[in-house]
Amino acid sequence: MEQLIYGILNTIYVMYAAFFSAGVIEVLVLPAWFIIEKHNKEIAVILKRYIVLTMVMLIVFGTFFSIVTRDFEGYFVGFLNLIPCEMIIALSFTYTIINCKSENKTRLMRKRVLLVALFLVIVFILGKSNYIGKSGENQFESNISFFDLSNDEAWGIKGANNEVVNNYAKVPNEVVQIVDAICTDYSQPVIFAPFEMSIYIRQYNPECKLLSGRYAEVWNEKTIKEYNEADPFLLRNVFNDNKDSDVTHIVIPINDVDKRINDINYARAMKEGWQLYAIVGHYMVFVR
Amino acid sequence: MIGCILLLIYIIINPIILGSFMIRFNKEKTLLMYPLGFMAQWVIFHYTYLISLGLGLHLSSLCKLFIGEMSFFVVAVFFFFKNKWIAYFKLVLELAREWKIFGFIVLSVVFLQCAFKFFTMTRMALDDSEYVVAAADAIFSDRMWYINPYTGYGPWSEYTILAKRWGTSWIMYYACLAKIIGINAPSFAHTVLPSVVIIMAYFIYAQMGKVVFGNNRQAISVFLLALSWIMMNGWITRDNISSNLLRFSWHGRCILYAIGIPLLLYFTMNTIEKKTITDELTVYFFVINTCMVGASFMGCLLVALFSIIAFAYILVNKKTCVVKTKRLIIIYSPVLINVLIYVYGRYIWNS
Repeated sequence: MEQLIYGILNTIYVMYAAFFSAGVIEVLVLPAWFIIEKHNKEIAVILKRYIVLTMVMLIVFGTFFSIVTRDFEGYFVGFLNLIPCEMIIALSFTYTIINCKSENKTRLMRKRVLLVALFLVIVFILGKSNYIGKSGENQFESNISFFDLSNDEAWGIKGANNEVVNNYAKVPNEVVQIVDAICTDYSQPVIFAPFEMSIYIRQYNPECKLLSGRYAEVWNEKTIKEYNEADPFLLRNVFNDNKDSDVTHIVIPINDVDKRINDINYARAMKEGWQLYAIVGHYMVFVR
Repeated sequence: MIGCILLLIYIIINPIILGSFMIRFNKEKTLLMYPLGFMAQWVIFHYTYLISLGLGLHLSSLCKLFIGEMSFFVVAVFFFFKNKWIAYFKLVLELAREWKIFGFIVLSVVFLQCAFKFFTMTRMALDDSEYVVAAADAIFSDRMWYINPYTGYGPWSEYTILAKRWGTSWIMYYACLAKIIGINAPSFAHTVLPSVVIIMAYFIYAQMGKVVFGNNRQAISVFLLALSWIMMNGWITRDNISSNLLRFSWHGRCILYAIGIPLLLYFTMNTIEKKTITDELTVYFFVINTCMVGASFMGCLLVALFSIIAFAYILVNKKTCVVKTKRLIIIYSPVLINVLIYVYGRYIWNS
């Protein structure tokens, strides 16, 4: 019984989080429904029944899965797309515009322009709503939009150079330069690169092998230490652990804040028998 | 040059020919011609891919089989129905002329979204380091699902993951198309596919708009423009439709949320209106369900959940709907096949 109650509450919480804290535009569904009901009762009734049924089924489904597995939230949030919120909101706006009435044509035009402007502003602000009150990783997620043309969209790549990428594979320019530099002299290099870079390397050139990256430490038979920062203590391990491994190249980010860390890394690499192969953008590439 | 011609054939001509056949040259469903045609091409690939995977064929053999099948189907459909083509495309041109300014404005906004994906940086997801790389590995090594995409070492023996991936044909579909056309898989996925998916999605939304507003072109245009604005500003979470359509257009999830679910909704309302699942609807549901399960293993769950909601809706609203068992089996066979592949891969092959 406790598990059942926990399951229901957990499911409701996940749905609340998905609608109200992560996706604010979805909140407009409720006022949108009232607008549709004013203009077309038949469609409003269909929508109401469909949405209620969907929510009930999702609660039942979510409750069952939250009892059976703890890892249901990732999938579950996607199931909320069974309710096409964007289309409902667009439908309500369309009804408002086309059923807008006024005796005077000029007044009607002005009314329509005002409604359009209001809609554009409301959706724009709600789309940016997560700017307020969030920080760190969450703010990164919410900062990007359709209108951001810069390279900031690249997943945390430290050498982000705010340029539009120069390739159709849409791999950051720095990764392209590094992989091209390495692959000029080596046919099938084994690379140990920071996480933010390793997710792109094999997309650009599948001939490269990686000893770090997403899930590499779990799924690869070799022992891997994954690192995300230019921490000199971690990097000592990186050079040490990779002494006997097959890795041919190690890529280390250059620390712009504390230059001493770069000197420490360089000295450590030299000591372990690595040579500086290239400096590309904000990264040092060492070769065995 | 040859690549451009092949791109034209597999991305535009084949879907249009197959799509026209799928909609039976019905002027009322013209907007669904391209989406259904592209999905029909994918369905042909999906079952060829499953058979090839079972027989242990390489990607190059699968591509040759696929080219042969598509050539046969497209040529057969084109010549068998050649008398209907001219009349149908005259109707389509008339329709296009009627839309004029509204059509121009809507298409401009849609192409703006496609151009954005084509020319600028794409929002990368961590999942790309598996899916897109798996497609790139398939082209590079000529073997499907052999190399671990995260590390580049093979064989990939994580059967808990592979059991889900084997039934997912979307990744190998665009790997195959990229190989046939002669470009690399990441470029195809990040540059070509988003435009295809976005255009397909808006055609479907336009058809749904037509259901609500009839032939009111002004209303449908306003609906599509409003939807575009919401999509462009709705990039808040990676799991909603806006985010998937305009950020991760090449992911299987996008096909599920932005294309599969709206199509299922549209055809389910059709079914309720007609009070039975006709032969035509059976084919449509079969195609859509195949694409849903081929896009992602989550498609199996979505199809099942949507079906329960649809049946519950019919019951609650006391609607009558005569459904033959044979047609239900055909409609849900793609889900069953994928579940069997998963069970086999996870529990039998693994042991």
